[in-house]
Formats: sequence, C-alpha cells, structure tokens
Amino acid sequence: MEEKKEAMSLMNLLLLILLIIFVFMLLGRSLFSNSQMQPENSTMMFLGFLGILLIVFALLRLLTRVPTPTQKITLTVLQCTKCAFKSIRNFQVGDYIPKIVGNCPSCGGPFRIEAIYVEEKTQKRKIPF
Amino acid sequence: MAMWSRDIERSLYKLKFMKDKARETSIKTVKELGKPPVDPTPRIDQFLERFFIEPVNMDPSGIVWKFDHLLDVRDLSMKDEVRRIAPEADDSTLNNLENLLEAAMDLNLIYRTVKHYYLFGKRTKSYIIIAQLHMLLPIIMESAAAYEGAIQAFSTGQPIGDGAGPLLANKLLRGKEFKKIEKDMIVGETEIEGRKVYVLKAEGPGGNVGKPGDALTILLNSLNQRPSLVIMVDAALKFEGENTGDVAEGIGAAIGGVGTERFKIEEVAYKYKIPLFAVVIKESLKEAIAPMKKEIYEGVEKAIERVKRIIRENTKEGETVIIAGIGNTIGIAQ
Repeated sequence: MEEKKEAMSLMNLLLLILLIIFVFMLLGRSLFSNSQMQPENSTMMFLGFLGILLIVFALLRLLTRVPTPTQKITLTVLQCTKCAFKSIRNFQVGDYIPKIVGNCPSCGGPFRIEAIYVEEKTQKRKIPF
Repeated sequence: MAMWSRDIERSLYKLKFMKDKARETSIKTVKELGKPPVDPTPRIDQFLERFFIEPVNMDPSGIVWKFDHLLDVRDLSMKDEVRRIAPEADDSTLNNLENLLEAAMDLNLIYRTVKHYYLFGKRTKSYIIIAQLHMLLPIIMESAAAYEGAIQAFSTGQPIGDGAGPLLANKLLRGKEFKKIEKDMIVGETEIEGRKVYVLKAEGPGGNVGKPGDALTILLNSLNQRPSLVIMVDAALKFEGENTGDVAEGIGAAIGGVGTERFKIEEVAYKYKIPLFAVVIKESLKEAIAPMKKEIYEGVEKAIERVKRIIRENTKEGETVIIAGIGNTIGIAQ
C-alpha cells in the first residue's frame, strides 16, 4: 500500500514537471515569436497562463497536504511488581492488563503487563490558534 | 451533480472494501478461535444482516425499561448466536468475537445505507438527496474508518480508547479483592487517603461494557453507609483541535450508549441524594474504538490524580466514595 502511494506521488511529480516544461515552451514561443500579432500566439499565451494557474493550484495542494501516519506499533509494557523493572516489547495476541507473564529478569519477581498502547511515529501538525 | 456522484462512488468503493475486509477478518478469527465443526461463513453473513427495532416513542412513559429489556434480549441472542458459530471459544474470547462481529455489522450497515441513498438519488434524479449525501460523506467516512480500526483491536483483544475508564478502575484495584456484582460487572474495595472507596468496572479481559446502572443500584442498595460521592470516569469525545488524553471534570453521569444506563444512575443518585461527579479523558470517535493510544494511557494516569483531588476536596476521612470506570474493558482484566 505504502509502495503504491509512493509510486503515485512520484508519477504526480513527474506529470507536474512535464506540465511546467510544456507551459514555459508555450509562453516562450508566444512571447519570442517573430510574427507578434499572429492569432496562434495569443492562443498559446492564453493556454500558457492557464497552465501557470494549474501549476500554482497543484503546488498549493501539494504543500497543504496533511501528512498521513506512517508507522503504528502496538507495544506491551511489562513491569516487575517488586522492583519496578520495566521492559517494552511488541504486543502479542493473548496479552491483557494486568496479566502476569513470567518472572522479572532483574529480581525474579512477578512480571506484569502494565500497559498496552499504540505508538505513532509521525509528527503531528501544530495548530496555530 | 456529476462531481458529487463521482465522490460518492469513490467513497462507496472504499466502504465496500472496508466491509469486505471486516467480513473476511471476522470469518478468519471465528475459524481460528472458535474452531467451528462446519464452515461458519453463511451464519456470519446472516449475523451481519441483523437489525434492532427501537421501542415506539409515541407514549414515552416507561420507554427506558422497554429499551433496556430489548437491549438485554439483543445482547443475549447475539451471545447465543456467537456461541453457536464459535463453540470452542471461552467467555472472554466470546465477548471479543461478539464485539468484532458487531463492528463488521456496523460497517455493513454504513455501506448499505450510503449505497441505498446514492442509488435512490440517481434513480429519482434528485440532486437534493445526492447533495445531502455528499455533505455528510466526511462524517460517514470518519465513522467507517473508526469501525475499521475497531476490527483490528477486537480480532486481537487489544485495549481500545474507550477502555480508559476500566483501565483507571483496574489501576485502583491492583492487588485488591473483587467480586461479581451484576451481569458482567465487578466491584472491588480499596482506600484512598483515609476514605473507603468502592470501584466498579465491567468484567474483563473480554470486550464488554457491562451494566453500570444496575451495578451501581445494587451496590447502593446493599451499603449500610450512604456514600458521600459517586465519581464516574469515562472516555469522552473531544472537539477538533483538542489534545487526545486531556482530562476534564464536570457534574453528571458520564456514560454513553442509548441512555438507559445513564437514566438508572441518575435515578439512584437522586434517590439517595448523592452528588455525581464526572471525569473524562478526551479522545475522538475514531480513537475511542481503535486500539488505545499512548496519549490516552497517559491521560488515565492524569485522571487518577484528578479523581484523588476530587475525593480530597469533597469528602472527609472515614467517608465512603464510589468510583465507576465506564467503557469497554477489552484487553483489561480486574
């Protein structure tokens, strides 16, 4: 899914670059043509300006795109009930709070599941107001 | 109208994908955990089409008890059906499977409803129906995404955001004795700064919300000393832009659902003239039924401090307090 999304955004970027080149070619031809008052020049100029608007719109959309969460992992926090030694591992089916899962590697006391939660690795956008 | 229709169609494809995935996950989980002797697919398909008819409200007097009765029947029949589909599952797994199938059922209903209004709008060429559906799409898709997150949590038995209340109760009851008080509800006794505290929560670690209204009524009727305070702790919907895991306090019965449990709690609190305090941990709808986030877990720690402060400021040493941890206790035992 992630690879497909990356390929899509690369494709979009490529299309945008091609559009920019095409628009500049159109504007260049219409502005620096020898026959200034030809009707095709004004059409090219009109299309060029439309292209610029399209590029600005696409760039604005790219810049304002909300970042999607990239990585989510479910963690199980284990804690010794005697010495408070803490250990974190990935969640396993069958885990629940406050299940006792073996002995503490530090003091041998009961090792209890203290928490199970999801951690996200993406930075959140700050709201300025 | 063509643009709106295209947007709706795109969302319908997404919804279809979500509900098909939820159905497949349900079938796979039932086969794994329930070990049915025959293929459970046709029974699961029938389960996903189940419906609930609310009691008539033309004469609202007594509707709460009718609602309560119908919800009990619904819950019981669903449990029986899941037990038939997954005969090898234990009680805790049974509750998780029931929650999983309910989430799949809700996704199926969202898909069918959106499809119905879209096709109806197109057939009657009513741009008003299409426009209304298009306007509601963001809310509908947000709910669907929330149920999609719930599917993962219920199939693996992870605690969900709504489990903030039971988690707080569990933390207060660590190492203490507890007993069953009502259907799927337990009560334990602890002490906070010289006050006797009764803690209520749903029985875990299977997915379960219990009946806190009935449990509180039974507990209050059985106590010799009138409690000075009832504090309800629940997950509450935050506004856009607010931080997940923030804690807020207020007055009243903090409990969601159709309202039958809230009604019972308000009734019994009024009968004994006990002040009702509410502490909530803020989260979005999506976060409430998706696997619990770290921010919510940290919110529970903050809520414990808030509860202690409320007890300190509103009661004297030697008095009795009741704390009810409200929510789905999946992945959280006693």
